Amino acid sequence: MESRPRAPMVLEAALFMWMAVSLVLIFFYAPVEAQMGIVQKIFYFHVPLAWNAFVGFLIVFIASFRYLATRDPKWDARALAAAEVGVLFTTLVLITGPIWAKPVWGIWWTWDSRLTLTFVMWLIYLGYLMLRHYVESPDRRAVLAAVVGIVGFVDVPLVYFAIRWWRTQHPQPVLMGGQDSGLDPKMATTLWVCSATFLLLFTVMFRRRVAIERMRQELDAFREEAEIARVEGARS
Amino acid sequence: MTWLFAGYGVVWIALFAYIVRLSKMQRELKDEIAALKSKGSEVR
Repeated sequence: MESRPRAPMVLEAALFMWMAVSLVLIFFYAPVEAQMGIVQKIFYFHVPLAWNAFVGFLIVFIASFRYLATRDPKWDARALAAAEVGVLFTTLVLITGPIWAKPVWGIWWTWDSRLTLTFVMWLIYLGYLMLRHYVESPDRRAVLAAVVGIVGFVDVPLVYFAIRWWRTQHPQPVLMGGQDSGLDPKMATTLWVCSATFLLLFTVMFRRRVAIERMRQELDAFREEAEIARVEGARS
Repeated sequence: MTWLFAGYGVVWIALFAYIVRLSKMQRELKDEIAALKSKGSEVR
């Protein structure tokens, strides 16, 4: 029987446990918000997904720089993996947000600065993935993607600070948002645990996606080697 | 309650589908590399 490496198994077991703890905290520990009711509990998934999407895009930014500096394909693989998981998380942010907004605001969507900038961020990184799909040459693809990964990151701090800099329909920050902000201690504990859970989930997905990309790079190198051998064989 | 479960349902289904997709991709690539390696060693 093929044995699996220990580290991913430990991570996955920890993730499973944290997921269970998070759900218990969300449904049995965190109080129901007085004005919004039970639908507010979407917050415990929505916010950690957004924070971890930011982590993903920060990794894209750093890995893209590292790739351009070193031309080591492992940085390209890391940038791609982080972008893909980041796009998945942002997609879920853009879905869970309107599911919360409809019963609370009465509308699914509004073009306020936070929502619009988040949508733009999603488009930028979706474009990043599409670019990777359409450029055939691996070196050219990696360089172009790295440039987009660096330039595209400009939008990420704008998304984060939008609710601090401008008046928005989106709720104001509940943590580190100044004098009027704050969160019930039980809600804050639940939010931090859920954030840790999603960070763990991000790590598991990211590691697996990097491993896949490294295998794909190995396969491409193999094919290239075989092609060179075939051409040389035909010549002689 | 319906809204809450709709939200949680979407998140769980999407995350589960992505993990399944990753597992499938990993398995396919592993098989492909193994096949290429065995083919390469046969040629040598």
